[in-house]
Amino acid sequence: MTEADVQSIALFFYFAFLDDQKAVEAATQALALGRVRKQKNPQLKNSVAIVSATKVTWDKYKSRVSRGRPNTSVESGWLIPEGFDLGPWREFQKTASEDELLTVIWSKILKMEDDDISEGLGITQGTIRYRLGRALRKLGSMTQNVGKLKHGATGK
Amino acid sequence: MAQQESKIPLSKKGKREISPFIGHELLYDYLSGSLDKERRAAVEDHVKFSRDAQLDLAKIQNGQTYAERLSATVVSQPIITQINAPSNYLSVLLQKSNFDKWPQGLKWGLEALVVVVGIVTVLTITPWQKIMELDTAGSKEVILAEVSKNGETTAIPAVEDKPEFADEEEKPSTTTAKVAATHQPAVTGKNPEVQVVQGVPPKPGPQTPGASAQAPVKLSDKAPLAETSGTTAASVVGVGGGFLYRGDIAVTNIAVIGPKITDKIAELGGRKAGSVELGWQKTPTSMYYHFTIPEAKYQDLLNFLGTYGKPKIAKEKHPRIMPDGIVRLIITLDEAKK
Repeated sequence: MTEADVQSIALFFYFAFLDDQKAVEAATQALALGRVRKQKNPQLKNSVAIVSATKVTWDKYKSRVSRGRPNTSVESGWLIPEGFDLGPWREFQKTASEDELLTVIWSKILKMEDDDISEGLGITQGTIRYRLGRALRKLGSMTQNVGKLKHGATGK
Repeated sequence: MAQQESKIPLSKKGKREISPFIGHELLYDYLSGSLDKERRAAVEDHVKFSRDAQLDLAKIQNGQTYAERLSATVVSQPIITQINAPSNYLSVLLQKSNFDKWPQGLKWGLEALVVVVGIVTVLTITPWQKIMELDTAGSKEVILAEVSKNGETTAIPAVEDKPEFADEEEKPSTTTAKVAATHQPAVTGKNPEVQVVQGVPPKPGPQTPGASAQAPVKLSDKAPLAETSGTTAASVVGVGGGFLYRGDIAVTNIAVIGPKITDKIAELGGRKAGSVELGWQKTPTSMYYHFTIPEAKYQDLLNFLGTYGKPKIAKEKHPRIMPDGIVRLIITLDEAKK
């Protein structure tokens, strides 16, 4: 696993949990799991191993994470782009279904190929695209709502 | 198949139209460019005439742009290092307990508690008895005072016991007299009795504390400490003049045989010497006999002891001079090892 892979795993759990401490904890476990999978099957692509390991670790942690209650701080070492508003993502993380949330993170934030995601999860690419369509529509509507609220428009 | 397809009704412009539902569902595929040419054209037509489709497309585009901007998030090096580091039990415990987020006072309290527990454990486990013994092992002899011979400082030989008999020191040897003479300056007149040692027998009985402190005395750890408490300067004069039988004997069932030996010594006219009783129980497996006995009975005693074990007794030089016909013995009776 390269440092970029470690960074991907860390980002996955950061955006999935919005909890600094739990993200590090889960990322450590997922990295170990990913390494084990790579060791068992050296032909396995890193991205496929990451998808698989992060999904297993997510399933383990999801009951312990209270979605909609972010636990992050600016000093914790996760460097969000300057001036970027994390509000829509918080809202999305709170309301989106598990499938939508994870698929957006893998595909759009970690920029993994759809076929790698589908291989890692054991589902078809069509399902991935379908989830992405729904998730992005939801996320997009949240960015519009935040924009309207920020600029004082009520949508009337 | 070709016949079936030809039966599907086409639009007036000869194009196959898609339903709004399908059009909506294909919006993401349309945006990502994964549709074939025919479907793409169909979705484009749908979007052109459907306000909802246009809004949905805008939402998907916004969502995609927003998510892609999130991918610019950077994880700092310390976090990468932390994730990469092999986790140990303590770090997992600290992570799970959210130790970093505990109140400062609570953290300090817990740390102080751990330190206190550590100190108490160390103090409890440490074998202080052995350490004290080691500490005193290097200085078994205690020099109370030193006198100078010809103006130079020298240590004076030790004396173990106070006299048990009035005539013990009635026969000072030549050496005794010499030694006593050299000792006179060290005991300068604080106790007049000390000066009598050259020929006049000292008065038995308690000595003044001043004289004891001034007297050059060396204590041996082999003899019980109590025996030296009454040591006077007068007793120093017997250096090398007398002798002592010292030895040990190993017997089986010391609890039974010990009292028998005590009785036998008393029967043979033996008297305890020193401060402890005859047959003093030093340890559960060892008894201590310090006594005097008529010299004529010494062989009888050896024969008696020989019935229980093999006595190993050596005759040693000793400054104490015993009266004629009396010998002094120190015998240790030990439980035989099985």
